[in-house]
Amino acid sequence: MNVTLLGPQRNVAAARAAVAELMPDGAIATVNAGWRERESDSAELSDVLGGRMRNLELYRRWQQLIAEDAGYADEERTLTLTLNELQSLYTIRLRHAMAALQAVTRRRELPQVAASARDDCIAAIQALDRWHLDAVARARTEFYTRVRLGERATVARHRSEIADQVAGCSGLVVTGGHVGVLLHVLHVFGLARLITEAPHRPLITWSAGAMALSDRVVLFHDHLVPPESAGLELRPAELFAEGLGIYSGVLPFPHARRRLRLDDPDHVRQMAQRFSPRRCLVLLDGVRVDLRDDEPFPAGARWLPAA
Amino acid sequence: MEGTKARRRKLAVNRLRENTTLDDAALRRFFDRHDFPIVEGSSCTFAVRAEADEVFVRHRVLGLPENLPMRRVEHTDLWFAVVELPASSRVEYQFELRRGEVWERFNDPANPRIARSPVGNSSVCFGPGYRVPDWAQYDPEARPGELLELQIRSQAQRRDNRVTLYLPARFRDTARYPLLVVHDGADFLEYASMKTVLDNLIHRLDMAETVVAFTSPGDRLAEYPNSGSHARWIAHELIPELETQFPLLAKPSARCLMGSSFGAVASLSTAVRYPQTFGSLLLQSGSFVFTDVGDDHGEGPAFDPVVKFVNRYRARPTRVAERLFISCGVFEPLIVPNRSMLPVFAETGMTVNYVESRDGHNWESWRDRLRDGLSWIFPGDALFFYE
Repeated sequence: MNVTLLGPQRNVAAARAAVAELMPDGAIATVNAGWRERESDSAELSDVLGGRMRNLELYRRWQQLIAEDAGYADEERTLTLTLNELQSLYTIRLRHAMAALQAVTRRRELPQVAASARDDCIAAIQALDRWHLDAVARARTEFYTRVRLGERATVARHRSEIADQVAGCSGLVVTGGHVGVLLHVLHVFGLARLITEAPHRPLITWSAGAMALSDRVVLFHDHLVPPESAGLELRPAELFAEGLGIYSGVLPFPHARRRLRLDDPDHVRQMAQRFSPRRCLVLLDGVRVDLRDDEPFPAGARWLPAA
Repeated sequence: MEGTKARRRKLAVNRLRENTTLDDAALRRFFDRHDFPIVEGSSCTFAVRAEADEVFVRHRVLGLPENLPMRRVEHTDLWFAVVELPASSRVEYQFELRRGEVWERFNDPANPRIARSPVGNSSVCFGPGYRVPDWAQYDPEARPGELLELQIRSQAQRRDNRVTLYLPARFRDTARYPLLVVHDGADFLEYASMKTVLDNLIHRLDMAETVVAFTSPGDRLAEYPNSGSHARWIAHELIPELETQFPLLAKPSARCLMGSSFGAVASLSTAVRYPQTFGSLLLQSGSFVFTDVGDDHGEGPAFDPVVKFVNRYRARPTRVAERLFISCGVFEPLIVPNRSMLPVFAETGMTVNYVESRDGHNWESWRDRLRDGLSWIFPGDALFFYE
């Protein structure tokens, strides 16, 4: 898959330029569902897309689905409760694992001994991350098994309408917002299949959109209050779920300058180590990174250094 | 360099005192030129003009003399007192003067900052670096929630109770919300700007969209210190009624009970009677007065049931909730019992998040800690949002 990743669109020049280059003509299918109730509040976005936006309205469709199908709504609620509890349990465990890493990192007595302990702390965190991803994937699989999305008439109708809209467009844009909601509606309405079935259709995405389309979604904000007072200086990044998997091997970190302690080399290095072998892409405002099949990563891309 | 100059500069009141002609016009100019109290570095100068035999600064700051005497500038009606206040302090005060046998108490006429409370207004001194949090002030960008007035029957208390229910902006029946129950709810709305705070914290993604029940007591001093009927009303009547009528998550981790002062005692004692009903408690300046030996607690008779309850809890502490957010002002006498309760709570296995402020026992102090508490108990979606 060829995907163009953009940094946050506070300044929309990069998006405007990428759209003009990759999607010079025709309508542009747009997923703006990360903005939830403000999905349709898209005048500025439409302008960036040259007035050619076709809003797929995934959030509105999802809300309609919940309102019209009580059985489906119940299953959604069960899924939400399960995922929230899984995230809470994972966060409790992660907090202690990160506190151990922090304490070990602070010790400077015998560096060669501490390095081994530090590496093992990171391995323990990676194991915890895997446990969480597996548990979330199981919960989602059980949800999809129970609701049988493909067999529900309402879902099929929405999916068909969306497929028709996308088929008539020259490209697809996935914007930012709430990455959890965005990822969920992309799953519900089968966007992964639509995207991969037309691999040459240009795809531009930014911020939460870039995160959702990767193969893993990492939530991060160093400066938020840590969830418990465990002596942690920074809020640990959390695995949220497997992403849509449109591209892999790269974890995008939009707003990195605002949300990450980039000036803390130990912290940055440990984060890169934790998520390896995936590479952590720093997506600053105005940045553009074109990921192309069978091509090395772009030379100008900025990554969190693993060493 | 400028800072060095500022440190060496004499206080404004001392410069004034060096004037050879301290007439009425000079004093007027002094008041016109400064904001009062005058904050110069860590020094705060309180000043007032009054014909009196004595003038005091009345305050409730632990550590300062209870009645801070003011000095008179010779041959004038100007009284002043200088105190050192640490950074980010906030102090509520009044002046009190004596003329012969007559005592009079009043707010600082030169200070427009007023703090309101159920027992009256007082002047406020913002120490160096203190700012009213922007999230506690009206923000036109923040979409407002809605307040509903409910009357809910309490068999336990044999009366109808008024409950003001806050529904967050964009409230939907199809969603499920956590529930926060607030003691002294009308006062939190009136004196701690709590609706504005909720609107802002939710808008800024600091706090989850939450339904908030603002409750108000009948006889507060009887109901709040460990009353069985009050606890039954909250846990067995209010909560089930709200969970029936509104789309709430209806599980302990999505319920929080909060209160300040006696309201904090009411929150804790309700949770002790109905453990694990509430996943979180938010306790501000709790009146957790206790004795280690004997029963002379040094407070009025209203504290007798409080002391009995707290002593009993300290003797056999129990894990009543998962998480406690506790805040207290370092200027209030309750700072000592609040600090003393921390290890007691912690030893039960409850997760305790404790925050102190350089403030006193008042509504704006409690307002200023709401973001710390609410964003910790019901965190918003900031972690999920990437523009």
